[in-house]
Amino acid sequence: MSIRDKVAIIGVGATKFGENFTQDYSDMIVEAAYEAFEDAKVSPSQIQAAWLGTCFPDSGGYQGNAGASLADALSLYKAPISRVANYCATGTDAFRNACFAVASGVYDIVLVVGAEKMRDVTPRESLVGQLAETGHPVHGKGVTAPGMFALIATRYFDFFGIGRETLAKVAMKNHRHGSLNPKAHFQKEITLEQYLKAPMVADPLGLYDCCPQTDGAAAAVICRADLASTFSQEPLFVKGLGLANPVGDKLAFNPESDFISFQATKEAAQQAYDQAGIKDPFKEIDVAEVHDCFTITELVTYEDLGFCRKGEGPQFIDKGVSSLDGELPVNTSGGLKSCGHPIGASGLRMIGEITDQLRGRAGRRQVKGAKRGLVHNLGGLGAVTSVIVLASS
Amino acid sequence: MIGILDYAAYVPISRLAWAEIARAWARSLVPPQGSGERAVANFDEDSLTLAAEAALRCLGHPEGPRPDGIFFASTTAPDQERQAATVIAAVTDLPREIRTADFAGSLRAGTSALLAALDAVKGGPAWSVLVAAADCRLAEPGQTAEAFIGDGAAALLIGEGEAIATVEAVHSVAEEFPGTWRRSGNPFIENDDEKFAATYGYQRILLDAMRGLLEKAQLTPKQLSKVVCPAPDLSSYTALAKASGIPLAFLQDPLLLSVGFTGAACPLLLLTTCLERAEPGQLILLLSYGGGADAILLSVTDQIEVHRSRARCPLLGPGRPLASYQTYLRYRDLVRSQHGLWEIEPFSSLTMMWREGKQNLALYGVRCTKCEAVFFPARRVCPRCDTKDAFEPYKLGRRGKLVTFSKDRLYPSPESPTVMAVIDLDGGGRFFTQMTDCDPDAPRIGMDVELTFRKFHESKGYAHYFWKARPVHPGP
Repeated sequence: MSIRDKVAIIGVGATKFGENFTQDYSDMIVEAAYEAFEDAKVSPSQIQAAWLGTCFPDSGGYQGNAGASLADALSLYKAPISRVANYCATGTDAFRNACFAVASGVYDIVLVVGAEKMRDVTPRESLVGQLAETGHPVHGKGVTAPGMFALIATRYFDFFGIGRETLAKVAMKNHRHGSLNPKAHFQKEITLEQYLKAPMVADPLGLYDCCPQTDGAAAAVICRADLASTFSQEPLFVKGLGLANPVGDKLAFNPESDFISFQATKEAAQQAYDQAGIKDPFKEIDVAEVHDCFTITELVTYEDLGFCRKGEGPQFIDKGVSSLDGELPVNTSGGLKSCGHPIGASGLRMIGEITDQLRGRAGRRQVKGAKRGLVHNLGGLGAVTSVIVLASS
Repeated sequence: MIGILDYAAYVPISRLAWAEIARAWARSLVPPQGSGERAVANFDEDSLTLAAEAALRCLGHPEGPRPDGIFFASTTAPDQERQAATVIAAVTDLPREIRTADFAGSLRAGTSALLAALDAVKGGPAWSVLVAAADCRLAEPGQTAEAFIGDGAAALLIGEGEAIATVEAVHSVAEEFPGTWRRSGNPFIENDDEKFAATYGYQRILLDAMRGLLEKAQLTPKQLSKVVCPAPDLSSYTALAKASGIPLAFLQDPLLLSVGFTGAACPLLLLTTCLERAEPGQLILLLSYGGGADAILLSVTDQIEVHRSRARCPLLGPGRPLASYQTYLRYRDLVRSQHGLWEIEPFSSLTMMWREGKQNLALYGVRCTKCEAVFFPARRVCPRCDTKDAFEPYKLGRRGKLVTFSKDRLYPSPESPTVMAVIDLDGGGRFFTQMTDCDPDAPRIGMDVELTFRKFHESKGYAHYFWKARPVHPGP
C-alpha cells in the first residue's frame, strides 16, 4: 500500500527565519501555526492530533522535549501530540508520521510544527557545543557539523578533480534566491570574491559554504485527501514519502562509505519516486528544496536524487540548471544557506516553499507552471534522509 | 640470564630552540656555549602517553615476550591517584594478572623502578617487567631551566632470558639534599642556590655513588666503556665530567643540546641511546641522581647484535622546530588562548568508559566470524551478513591509509585547525579520529598514517585517553 494521494496539505505557515532575539520558542510556534491555520481556513479546535519536530530542545532542554511544549504554546491540550527528533530530518519526519496517521483514517485533520530555538545561546555554544560537548566521549571526538561535511568535500574534490569555485556557485545561487525571500535569514547576494575571501571554517569549507545558526518555526495543516476540497481551493497532494537510514549514525566509521555520495538520499528518493510513479526525476520534478546545510551537500544531492549522474553535479550547477531560471530550480527559497537551519523547522519550511511554488504564490521566486515538487531533508552525516514528493493534482 | 631483554625510547617530535626562548624573553637565558634545542611534548601528550608510546615500541614485536609486570616512573604523573602503570598495561593489552606500580618522588624514580624490576625478576614474583619512565617537567616560564628541560620517555624490558645487557653491580646512596624539588600542587620545579646544588649535591653525590660502585666491582674508571649520566644543565655536567676524571669520549652524549634533560626518564633514555651503539663485552656505568644517587654497572652481551638485526623504528625519531615559544606555552597550558580545549567539557560517562576499556585502550574492534567484516566500535548484529552475536574481539592494526580528512577551525584546540581523518586500517576496520603531530598541509588521501595513544580531554576531572593518527613519516 502506498501513501500516494491519501493525504493533502491545506495550509502552511512559517516565522521569519533569523536571529529572533525578541521571540521565544513558543512565540515562534504560535506565529507559524496560526499562519498555517489561517492558510488552511481551519480553527485550532478542529485539529485532532499534532506532531512537533524539535531536534535539540533549546536552552538546556527547557522547551521542546515533548509534545506538551506544543500543547503549551498553542493551549492545544485536547489533541494528542508526539514529538519527533530525527537529526536534521526532524521536520520532514514529523510530517511523514503525521501523514501516516491521517492515511490510517484515525484522524481527519492534524497539525505538524517544526521549531528550533538556536540563538538563545551564542553560535559557538550552539554549533560547537552540539558536537564538541555531546556524543561519544572519544570516538570521532574533534568533529563539528562543518567538519563532518568537509570529509565529503575533500574526497569529492579529489575524486572528481573540482575545487571550491564549484561550491561557490552553489552558495552564490542560493544567496541570489534568498535575496528574493522576505522570510530568509540572509537576503543578500554574494560575489565570488566575497566567497573566496571569507574565513575558512572546516577546510575545504569556508564561511559561505555553511548555513547559519538560526531561529525559526514552520507549520503545516494536513488532512485526508478526500476531505481536502472541503477546506481548500488549492490543496496539495502527498505523492511519496521516503525515509532511509542505510548506513546508520557512524558513517565515518563505516567501511562501506565512499564519501562522495549519501546512500540514505538514494534510497529515500527511490522509495518516494516508486510511490509517486516517477521514472525520470529530472524531467518529472519541476522544483526542489534540498538540504544544503553545506554547499557540498547540495552538489552531491543533485546526483543522489538522480537529477544528474554521479560526478555531473558540478556541470549541473555550472550550467545554471538549478537556478531559478534553469530547467530544474533547486532551493528557490535560498535554501538552508540563506534561510538558515533551525533544525526541526527546516523540513517544514521546505514543504512550505514547495507548497507556495505549486500554488503559484511564490512571488518573485515563482517557478512558472510548477506542478510537482520535491523536498529533501538530510540528517547527521547522511545518517537519515527524508524525501517527499508533492503535486498539485 | 637476568637483564635487559629489550628497550625503546620516545621523544616527542617538536623541538623548541634555545634561541627562540631567548627571543621571546628578549634576553639570553642560556650560557653562550653552543646553541641547543629541547623536545616539547604535544598538547595532547603527558608523561603517561609518552611512557605508553615507549612501552608500545618496546613491546612492538609480536613474537616478543609479554611482561607480567609494568612499572611506571615519573615525577610528573598526570594523576596523584590513578595508576599510570595500570593504564599502560591496558594500552599494551597485558592481562590483568600482572604486577603494576608507579615510581615517583625523585628524578631517581626511573632507576628506582629499574632496580625494583630487577629485584622482582630475581626474587621470582615476575619473570619479566616492563619499566616505562617519562617526564614532562615544567620550569617557571622565563627560568633558565626551561631551556634545559626536555620531554621524553624510555622503556626497558627487564627479565630472565636472552638479555642484551646484564647487571653486574649496583650501588645506591640515599641523601636528603635540597637541590631541586617540587611541592604538591605547584606545577613548577623549585630550587635555591644553584652553585651549591651543582657542586655539593649533583657532583659530590654522583661521584660518591660512582666510586662506591667501582669499589664494589673492583674496577678502575678506565675499564668502563661508557658512562651514562644525566645532565640537568651545561655547567653542572661539565664540572662533573672534569671532576670524575673520565675522558669526554667515554661519556654518553646526555642529549642536553638536542632533547633536553628528561628528568626521571633521562638515565633510561640515555641508556637506550648507549645500547643502540654498544658492542658485546662492553661495560656501561649508568648513573642517576635525585635524593641520592644510583650507580648501575651493565655488561653488554652478544645478544645486542641479534637485537640490532631486527627491524625497528628509529630510536629517537625525527624532530621539527616548534613554531614559537608561544606555541610551547599553549602546549603546556601555560597561557590560555581563545578556543582552547579548556573551553569545553565534553560529555562523559565513566561507567561507559570503563565498559569500553578494552575497546578504547587496547584498541579492539570486532570481526564477524561468518563474513569476516571488521568493525569499530563494537556491535552485535553484523550489518553485512545480518548474523547476531557472531562477532569476536579483533585487535585492530595501528597503521592504515587516509580515506578522507577535514581541517576543522571550530573545534576548540590549542592547535587549530583540528585535522580529522578517516582511516582504513591495515587488517580491516575503518577509524575516524583527530590527526596529531601533523602539519595541516601534510594530509593527502592515501597517505600512510599510524595510531598513537593521546590525551583527548578532561571530563569530570578525569583524563580521557584514546587514539589519534599521525603521519607515519612525519616531515622534518
